[in-house]
Amino acid sequence: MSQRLSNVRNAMKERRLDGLLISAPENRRYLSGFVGSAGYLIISQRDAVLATDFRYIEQAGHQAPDFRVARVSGPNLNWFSQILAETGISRLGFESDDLTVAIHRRLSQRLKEHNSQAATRVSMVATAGITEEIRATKESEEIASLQRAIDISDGAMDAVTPTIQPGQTEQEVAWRLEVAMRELGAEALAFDIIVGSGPNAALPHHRAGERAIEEGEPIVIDMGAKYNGYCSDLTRTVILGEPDETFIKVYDTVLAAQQTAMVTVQPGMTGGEADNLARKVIEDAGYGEQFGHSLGHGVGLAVHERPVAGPSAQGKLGEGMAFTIEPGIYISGWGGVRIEDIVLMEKDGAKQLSHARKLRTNGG
Amino acid sequence: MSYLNQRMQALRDLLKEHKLDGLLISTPENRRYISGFADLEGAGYLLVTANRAFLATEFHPTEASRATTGFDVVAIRRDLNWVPPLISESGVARLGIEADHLTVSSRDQLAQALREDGAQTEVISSRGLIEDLRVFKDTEELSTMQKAIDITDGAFEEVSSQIEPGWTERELGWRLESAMRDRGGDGLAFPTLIGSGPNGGFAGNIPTERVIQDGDSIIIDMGATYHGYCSDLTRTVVVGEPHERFKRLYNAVYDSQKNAIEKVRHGIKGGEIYAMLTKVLSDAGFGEHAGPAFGHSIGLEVHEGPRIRYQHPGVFEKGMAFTIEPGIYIPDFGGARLEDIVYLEDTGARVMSKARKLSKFGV
Repeated sequence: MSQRLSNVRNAMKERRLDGLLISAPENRRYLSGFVGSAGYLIISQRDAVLATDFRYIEQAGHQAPDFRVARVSGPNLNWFSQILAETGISRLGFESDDLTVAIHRRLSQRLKEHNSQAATRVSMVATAGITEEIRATKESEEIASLQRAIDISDGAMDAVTPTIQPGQTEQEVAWRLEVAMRELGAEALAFDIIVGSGPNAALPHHRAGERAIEEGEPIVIDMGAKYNGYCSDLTRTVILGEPDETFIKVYDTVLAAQQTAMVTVQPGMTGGEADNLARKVIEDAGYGEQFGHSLGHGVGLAVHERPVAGPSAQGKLGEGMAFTIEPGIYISGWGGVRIEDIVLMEKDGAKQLSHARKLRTNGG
Repeated sequence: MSYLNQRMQALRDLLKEHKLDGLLISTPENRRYISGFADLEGAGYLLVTANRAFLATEFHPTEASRATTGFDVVAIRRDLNWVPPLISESGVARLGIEADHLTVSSRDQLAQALREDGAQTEVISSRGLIEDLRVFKDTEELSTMQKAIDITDGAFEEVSSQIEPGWTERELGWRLESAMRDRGGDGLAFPTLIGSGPNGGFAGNIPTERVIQDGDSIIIDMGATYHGYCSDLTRTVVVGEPHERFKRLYNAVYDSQKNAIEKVRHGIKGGEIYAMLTKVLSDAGFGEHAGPAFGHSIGLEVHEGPRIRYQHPGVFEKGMAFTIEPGIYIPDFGGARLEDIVYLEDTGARVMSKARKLSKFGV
């Protein structure tokens, strides 16, 4: 935790902020270790405060040893100006992608009163992505939690996929996948499970509906477990019975695109360059128009986080970053194929962390 | 007129009242309430003006058009650049945003897009407009809520009849969750709370590895969602023969809840219900161990609208659905809570929860 704090303090210096207000739940957890559902961090170069309400005071003390705990109470936000006075902050950054307009307004109002009385005037400065950028590079402890989450979804996928029968609904299959992940130790789902069969497989963000699965149509299964706060994200596409020519061609193209990207991506490439590795394979096979989303995204405490691997993404894929590689081809009315694994960028290339079976059929 | 048309009309009346020419709706529950469409995920908005309604979505615009009526569907990327052209067509001078949901960066981005477009539109922070409509449940909502409640009640009755010493709290929680899902629940309205034995001595119990013992009382607080609507049920059960002190405190909770359910009427304040519930607990000698929060409105969110708390000014009116849930919590000993959802009618509260409740003990 203290390394994370010093990273964020360095980032604050670069932006000439002498204070930072953290409100985003994942950032709060990452920087402090506190997993409660409510609270703010206020960080200065010398001080670190976790402000939370009466329900969490005791828990906060245990979970966030690098922070001193302050109690949030009352609608007048006295705690806020008191912490500002104690820390001597004058330029306080806030997370503009998380803070709501209403809370920002209340805090600003309180600052106005504070500034009329206090020795140091405080201004609030909008920031974005300070902690998220640090979170993109994983520590070994984080990789261990991530790997556990990945092993859980791999195990559930391999156990449930072969048991899918024609006539089962997408929802039934999703529920059995959820049960399997929970029984393997998932604390929660990383996101709502997607089971898209037949034409629904052509919708990358379909969830799971009441449609009964039929033989000979693609089934896209996209799911993830949460372990210790870390999210996995895994997609497999299978077919019940004998695959036809179209399915084989589409499946093999997606698989080749994914393999190409996994084998050739190197640290230092931009997200756009990585995306292009897979996109080129799909374009060359004549399906360029049918790959309508990005190649992948970082995973960690949030299921979608930095880095971004997509067309024109400028950010670099550095050593220690964990992200998905998930090309897909979607043909309206027919269905689609997507294959997704999580990789960890190492010195000489991407190491694959997820290992669920990849078969064209469900192997049942 | 369909229920969605009625909601839209009520919203437009409200906009007029607040002198708004349009409202950008970002809160997921509000989007669902007004459009009837659930699958907008993170990146979706509604934009409602006096005579137009737009649904903006990043994913699956075709499905959105098929699933809704009266909305023009707009395919968007994550940003808000699509707003200015639409509102300049509609002549919107004052555009409301939902200040309790929209982030500062989205608001700033919207303001900038409007400036660049040369629009003379003022962005107004609004709070609670659709939330104020949502506290009154229409018949469509009531029947969906009843389904969520029935799923929860059924799961409770099935699993609670099987509890045995030796189960852990987590095991019990998982069985309850599975039973709700098997009965058609879409998910959980909130993480199931289990407080067995001394763990019932405080409110809000995350299930632990504690093993349930003979003679334990167990507080079970659970709820399924169905088509977005939440249920919320608490029962206190016993395994074997409970402690004499538990019997007295359970009886007090039972009487407290029964009395309040009989007496609540249109126009009563949350603080008044709290006082009524607490008085029965105090008269039985448990005043110092009464919990701080004894109920809340419920609907698309598990906690919405007025609450039952000490001196809470929120008013409960005809047409609202809410929980009544008194509890006694004695640290290091245990506790009891009973919670039912009621719907307030002309004649008083109609109880929607039907799960069996332990009768009073003879003491």
